[in-house]
Amino acid sequence: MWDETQLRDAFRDEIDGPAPAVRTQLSDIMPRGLRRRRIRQVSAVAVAVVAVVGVGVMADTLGGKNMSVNEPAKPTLATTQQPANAAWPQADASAQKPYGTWSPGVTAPLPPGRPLVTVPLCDIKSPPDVVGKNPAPEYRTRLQSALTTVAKPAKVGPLTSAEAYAYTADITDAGGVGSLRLTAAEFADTPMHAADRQNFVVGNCAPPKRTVQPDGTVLQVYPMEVGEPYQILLMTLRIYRPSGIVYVLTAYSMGSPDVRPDPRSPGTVERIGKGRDTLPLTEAQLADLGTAVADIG
Amino acid sequence: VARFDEEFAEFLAARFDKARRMAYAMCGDWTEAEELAQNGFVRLYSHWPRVAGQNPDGYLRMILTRLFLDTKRRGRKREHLVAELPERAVRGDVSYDDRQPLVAALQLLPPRQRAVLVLRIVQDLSIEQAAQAMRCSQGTVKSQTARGLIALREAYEQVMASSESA
Repeated sequence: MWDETQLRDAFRDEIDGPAPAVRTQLSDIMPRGLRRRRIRQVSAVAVAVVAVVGVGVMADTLGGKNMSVNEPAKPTLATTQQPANAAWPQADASAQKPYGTWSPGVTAPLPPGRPLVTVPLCDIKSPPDVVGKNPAPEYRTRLQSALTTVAKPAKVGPLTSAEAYAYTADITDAGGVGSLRLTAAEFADTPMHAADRQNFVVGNCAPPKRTVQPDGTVLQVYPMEVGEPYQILLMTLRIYRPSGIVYVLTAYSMGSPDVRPDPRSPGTVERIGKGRDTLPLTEAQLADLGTAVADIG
Repeated sequence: VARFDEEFAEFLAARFDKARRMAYAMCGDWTEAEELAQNGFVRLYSHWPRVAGQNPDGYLRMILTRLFLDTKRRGRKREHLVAELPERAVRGDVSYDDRQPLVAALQLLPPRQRAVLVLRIVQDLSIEQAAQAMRCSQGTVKSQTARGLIALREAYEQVMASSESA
């Protein structure tokens, strides 16, 4: 069996065996492929325009102002809400080159009327966290209070745990129900090293925006992500504490009405609803929230 | 354009099922495999005028491998919203199609080892070709293959033991 040729034959026997009928047709492929091609062509034109404009901007900024180099394409929000930006500088790291843009999967298409959000995709450069740290009750209490203040006029529900090691609170406004999720993990070295190592942990192209507190706590907020199903939107803030704990706060475009406990896998939830079109918090609100809880834990 | 479209249609008809089965070997799920293959062909079509005359098979393999690894790294927030995906699949309660113990065992390996074994063993690619598809060094392919084979043997024994005790 473990001779490579025998192994190959055995594998092929299994893989080439009976399978469900192919559902995909040419008409499923070509329109999406054509759209990707057009987006790429438009992007190429946009890059050229930006380059021309950039020459003019550089002429103005060479007088001594700071310049951002390797700034990647910003996510294009087709929705009415544009994130209000956090007033933090970007971490000192070169942007990654996108390998493509996100598009919805065939089995979880956009709900009717939901505009497509175009976000560049880049490699995930860091290992994920080792999960298993339960945020202390004190931390959750402070977070609940700060979230209620920061999210106003949105209504904030209680921070509850339907998943192992994760706490979630609904955030409801006119756009629907979104949520904020809290997890925590441990890291072994300094907050700055850990933050540097995880600059691209969510597959972001631009480096995160960062601020450092006097006690060495590093906060960084990442560009908005988009994913499956139904074009879920996410934005993450990570708080690296000198105690060796990283708190991860993630705003989601879905809330408790969109999930239910998964009976097949205790400790996890199953997605049933299609969520809202926008994030429930802006980048600036997420940054304010992080700042409010940055001194604990 | 029509000529390119005709060529692409022929290529799709000839290769889609093969691509889907390659994706299935990596992910162990026919629905996900169909989606990976479909997304792979969408990307291939968007570059078709450029790659048609070169090596579309190699390009498709590279796209599929990257799509698979990317999906796994992003945690595929589709059915289960867990805090973070572990690099290793959870062992113990293994359920699988008992006609496919090798595919089942492969699913117990980390995604990169799965990908490298599918490329090297199932697809019979050279180290250089596999490195190109995974966009990593040839040394990485060699080490991942060696570790993957050891892990696959352990996983296979686990699957067979689980089968016998069931």
